Amino acid sequence: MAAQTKRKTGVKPPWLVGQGWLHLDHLAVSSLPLIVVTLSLAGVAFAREGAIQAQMIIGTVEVLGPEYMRLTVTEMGPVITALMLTMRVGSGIAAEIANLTVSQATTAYQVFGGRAQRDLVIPRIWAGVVGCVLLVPIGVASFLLSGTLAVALWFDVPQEEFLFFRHLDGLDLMCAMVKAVLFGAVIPFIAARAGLAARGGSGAVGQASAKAVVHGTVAVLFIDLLVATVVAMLRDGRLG
Amino acid sequence: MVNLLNGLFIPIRWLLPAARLLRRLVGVRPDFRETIYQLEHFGYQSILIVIAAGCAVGGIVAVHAATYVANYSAGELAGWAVGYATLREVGPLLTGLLLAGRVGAMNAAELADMRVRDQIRGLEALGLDPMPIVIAPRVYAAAIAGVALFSVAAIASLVTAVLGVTTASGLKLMPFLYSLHDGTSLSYLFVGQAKAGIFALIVGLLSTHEGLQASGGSSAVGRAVNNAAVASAVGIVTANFACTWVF
Repeated sequence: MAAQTKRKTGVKPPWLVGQGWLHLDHLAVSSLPLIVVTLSLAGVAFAREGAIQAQMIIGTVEVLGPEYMRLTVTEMGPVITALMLTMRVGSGIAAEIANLTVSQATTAYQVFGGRAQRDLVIPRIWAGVVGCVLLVPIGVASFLLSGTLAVALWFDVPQEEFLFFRHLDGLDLMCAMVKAVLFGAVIPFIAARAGLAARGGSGAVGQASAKAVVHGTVAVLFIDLLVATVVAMLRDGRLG
Repeated sequence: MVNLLNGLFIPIRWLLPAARLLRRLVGVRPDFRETIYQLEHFGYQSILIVIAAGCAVGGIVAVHAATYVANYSAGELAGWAVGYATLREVGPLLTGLLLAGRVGAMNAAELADMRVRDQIRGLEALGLDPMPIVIAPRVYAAAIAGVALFSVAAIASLVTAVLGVTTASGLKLMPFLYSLHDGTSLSYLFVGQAKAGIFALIVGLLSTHEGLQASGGSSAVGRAVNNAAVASAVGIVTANFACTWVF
């Protein structure tokens, strides 16, 4: 059986897409309420604060629309969605895999010819990428709509004067999607790595989960900085 | 649809236990030595990670500020934008979410481990009340560490943002520093610190609550950490929403 598995994995690339779908429910569908609620709350706070400051500094709220839109699509939407997924999915994956590791289930799996690292990590990365690509637009929409509603309610700015879709260009959308793909791949990878490194008893499971959240958060922030810098350089014409 | 409707009650579901635990903590005098130990544990040991996150936040703010300076030739507003984003708005929120992971998840993991090993029950069997020696020191230390760590993160992000904007946008350092001085008041820092304190208190309360709820084996510990991280993140975003009306 071990030889058969080895031959199979030696010929076929280890995509394991089918198993990725199984994790997608936990990663994307179950995270949907969390993403919608938190991004909506953050959107109202961000738009209201921005409008108050715009009124104080520039004297009008109307100018806020295009910048709010661009910042939401390229920055706040993808980053807050990814941070929420790090908290919910990252810690969950780390706990699940750490639990298997400390109970020596992964060792047993390897004894029977399975490749625990590959079989546990790759499907989750697939699910992470697909889930993040699906959830980021939902998060961005929640953030935008709640912010638009907030300025319409408290500052009497009509929706058509606030939502300026024509101010977004292909580079902004590409930036959001690249971030979604990278966050979706990195969050489960870091979490799985923390889970596989767990050694000891129940304390190790908790530590692996905590490590997944902290490392995932820092990784999200640095990837965000990296992509934002590359996009800014592309916009300036300093790259390509 | 039912899933989404359930989601609307997420903030209430998480924040009610925090309020209940806070009420139980009123009047409890925390053990001094344990509080200092937890302060070192949550605060001092998190400094490096908070500085790293602060630098990333500062860099992100700098990239966007430099873009706006280039698009609108608004060099005189760049200092205000950097100060406002790093000290008052984006900085506290992102630092708070990092603390949810670093302090919240760690606290929940330790308490859940103590719980599943029956150490909390052991204390009670010895006639010791866990409230002043285990629970209160962790909650107070989390809140104090949150304010201190935000201040460290704010300095790191401000320095990175200043260096980033002057390097990327071609603005001269001294005029930019003048613009930062003119556009930013000390109240931004105080508001940021107050927000960070509130966020950290929520993280401390929710993670303690989730840790103490654990029962079972090692999977219960993982579940407690997962719940604590999610609850803390929801609590922070909800508190940030409420803060726009207070500050």
